[in-house]
Amino acid sequence: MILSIGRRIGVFLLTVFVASLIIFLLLSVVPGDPAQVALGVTATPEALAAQRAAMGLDQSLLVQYLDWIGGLLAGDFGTSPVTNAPIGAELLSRLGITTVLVLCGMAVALIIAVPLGVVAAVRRKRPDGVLLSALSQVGIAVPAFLAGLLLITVFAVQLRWLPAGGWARPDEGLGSTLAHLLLPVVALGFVQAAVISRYVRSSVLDVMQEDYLRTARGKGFTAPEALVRHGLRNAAIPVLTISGVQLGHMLIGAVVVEKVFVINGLGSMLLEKAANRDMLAVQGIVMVVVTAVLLINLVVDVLYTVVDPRLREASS
Amino acid sequence: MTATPTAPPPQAAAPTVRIRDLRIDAATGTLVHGIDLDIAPGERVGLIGESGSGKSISSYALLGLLDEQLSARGDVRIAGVDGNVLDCSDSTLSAARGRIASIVFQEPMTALNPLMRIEAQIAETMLRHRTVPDRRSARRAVLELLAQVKVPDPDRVARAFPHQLSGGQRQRVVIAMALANDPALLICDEPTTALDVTVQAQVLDIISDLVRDRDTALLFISHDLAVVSSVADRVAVMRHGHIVEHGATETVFAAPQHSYTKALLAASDLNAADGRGRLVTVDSAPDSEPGSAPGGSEERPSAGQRPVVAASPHLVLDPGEGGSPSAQVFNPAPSDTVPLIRARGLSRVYPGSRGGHRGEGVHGLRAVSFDVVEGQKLGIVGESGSGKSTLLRIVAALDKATAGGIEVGGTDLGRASRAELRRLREDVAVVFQDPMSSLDPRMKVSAIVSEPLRGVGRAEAAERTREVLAAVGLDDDALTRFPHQFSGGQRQRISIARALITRPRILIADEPVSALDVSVRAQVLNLIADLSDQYDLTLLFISHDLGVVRHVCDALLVMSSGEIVESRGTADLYAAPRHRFTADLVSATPTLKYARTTVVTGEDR
Repeated sequence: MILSIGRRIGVFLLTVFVASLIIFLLLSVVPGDPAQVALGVTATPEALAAQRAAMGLDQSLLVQYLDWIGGLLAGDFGTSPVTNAPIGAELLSRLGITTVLVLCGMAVALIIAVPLGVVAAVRRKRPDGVLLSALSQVGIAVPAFLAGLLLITVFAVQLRWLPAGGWARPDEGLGSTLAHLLLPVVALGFVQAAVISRYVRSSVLDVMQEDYLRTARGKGFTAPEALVRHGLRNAAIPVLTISGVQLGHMLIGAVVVEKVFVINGLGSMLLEKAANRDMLAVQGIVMVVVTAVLLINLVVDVLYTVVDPRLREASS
Repeated sequence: MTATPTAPPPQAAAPTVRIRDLRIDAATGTLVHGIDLDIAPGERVGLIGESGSGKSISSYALLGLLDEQLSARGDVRIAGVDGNVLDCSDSTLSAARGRIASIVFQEPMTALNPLMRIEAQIAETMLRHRTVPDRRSARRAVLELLAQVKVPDPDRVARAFPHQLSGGQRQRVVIAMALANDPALLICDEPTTALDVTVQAQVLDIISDLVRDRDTALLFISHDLAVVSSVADRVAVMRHGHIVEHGATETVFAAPQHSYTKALLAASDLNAADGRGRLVTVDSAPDSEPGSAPGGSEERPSAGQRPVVAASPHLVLDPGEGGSPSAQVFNPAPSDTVPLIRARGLSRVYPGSRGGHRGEGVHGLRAVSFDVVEGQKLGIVGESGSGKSTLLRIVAALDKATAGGIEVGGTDLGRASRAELRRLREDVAVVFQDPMSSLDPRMKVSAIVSEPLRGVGRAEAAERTREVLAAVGLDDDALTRFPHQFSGGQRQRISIARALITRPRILIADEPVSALDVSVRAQVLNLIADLSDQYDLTLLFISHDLGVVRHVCDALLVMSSGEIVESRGTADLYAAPRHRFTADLVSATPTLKYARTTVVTGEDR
């Protein structure tokens, strides 16, 4: 099992490396000269050439790549030619905000989706089960920004319980942070809950047909007891897959909610930098997001082997 | 409810189960039409019927395990459960399930939770009903139970996960679970249908012994009359939701009264054949007097009726040769003929490691050599894992040998070009085991059957499709229908039609009847035998069931652990198996006890 995890980590590192190559090459063929972007359209050819040399753009692609990747490994994302500020510091703080937002959103989503999906499956033929199932369909159709606007209208504007937007760092007071966090997390979590609960429902429905649940009932467990003892862990496997996929999507997908709640997260940073043609920053952000997604996959893979003993041998 | 004589249960003890007028309804109609049955403590009752007869759902109703779509009416009493079982709530019944009454299901591969260790799964049966005080005594009890069901190395099995155990071991675990709390009633629903013959014999022994030791009432459900006759004192025969016949096993099997029972008995008896050398089917079975049941003679119809094409003397392990078995050519062709299939030193090693032996690989076949002469009907027999399916895949060019060579119709499969292989695949057709899953559910029968044809015009394809469908006994209106609209037997006919449409020279049948009911099984076997003659086919018939192969084949190869251990003419091999493994197979094949039509094979166990 340890061996198989070690191999998965190896595959992860290799994939990150290949991803970095692809990202670098893709962004180097995007039109737009970074030196021109830095100096503006009025720059003289001599100034441009000097700027290129300063930015290392006159070097071969290989040298440029090695410069970039070497910097990344040392934690240096480079200096933005547009703002002349180091990219890494901003990236880190934005990443922190988005990570908190996304992880809390996912937690809310799972807390809602798992019981909802199980109940919808168990009571699929009763009116309440059908209603839950229909509600989750509607939930998938509601865009996160609309959910956010509704929440702001009710809880911030009308009831004035919570701030309508913005962000507070924990050192500015934990209560304030939580207050700012609550609405965006709920907006993000609700929509994800709708998606994930569909998967929970169908996964539980599948498991309810399994012979081992019948065996469990034959041992003397009631139908609900059998489902809890023997069904849920089996049903968790496909839910784990979809949760990993959704988590990856949310990293950038959270940008919509960030915009609505005026939060400076990773997604909004990517939008700003792309609009300003700050390609070095874009490159750094995409690299971070790709690495995060691969890391999520790695964690999901490892969790599979923890949950399912069959995979422990198959992979060793 | 019917006019059949009912054998009165022993009056001495109050029955463990008393069923009166049990009816089961579905939305589409009534499935069980009022059955009555008593089982006394220690009594072993067999419930016989084909799929759809209502035998399994009747037993589920006793434990409150019916599907939600089904509802049961009537009066069912189980000693130790208050009131009518059918009126009890799930929580009341769950207190009885696993303690007063237990059930063993058919499919051991899926009956256990794949994520839980065996020990935990058995222990929770006892912990649930508090028949053991704590986990430590539960563990002791689990090891004891595993020893009772005779698993090798109970310690290891207790720690294992289900996927690490074989089907037979899993079924033993399920039996251990069912008997953990010493229930008064044990229901076994086709407990050995999914198992190999030799394993089946062991599991049946275990069930019989444990039930006898504990004085447990047993309800044993099966479609296999031979299996039931080896376990039950009393049998009830079900058809279309009625018990049509009921009495002591010996009486019912020796002198069946109802025409259905007679037909079922005749169809189950693969030694019996009618005047034309064909197996008796439920339709063709005579329902007049039991004495006229066919096949009572000593003569072996499979040898007597059809000409044995390969009349060559089949070689056995020659003690004088003294070499390793792999050096021997089994079923050799006579020196003046060229064999259609010629395999020499055929091996198949699957890469990968098992149990820590890295890189060693798994041996599917170990240096196997044999011939098959044109027109021969060769049976390949062995248990699961014996290498018979690997052999099939190589002969059908679906897989390649890792060592050795094989020629089919003069083509060396190891060196054949793509074009040659494509031509070869038209010459070699395969019929697979499971007619439910081997047909594409979204294709019409006409498309399924004509699919293997290449480079044939539309009109000719349609003509040939109709022709092969007629040959397997299906009408033209089958053409536009989908697989799910057919029964299992009909689907297997469709598979056979698909196999025959390219006019192959070799037909490989991989367990073609093991998923079918007894009555249908005989029909499909007859069909395969007839078509082999009609189409001049060379037949390779793969099965784990000696009884089935015996009827169709002239000669047999017996396989074990990737090697051929014996090959001879069918009749010889039965009469005097030489290899220990063959002898085990012959004696483990369940035979119909009591039935007058049976020619008993091997030792009566």
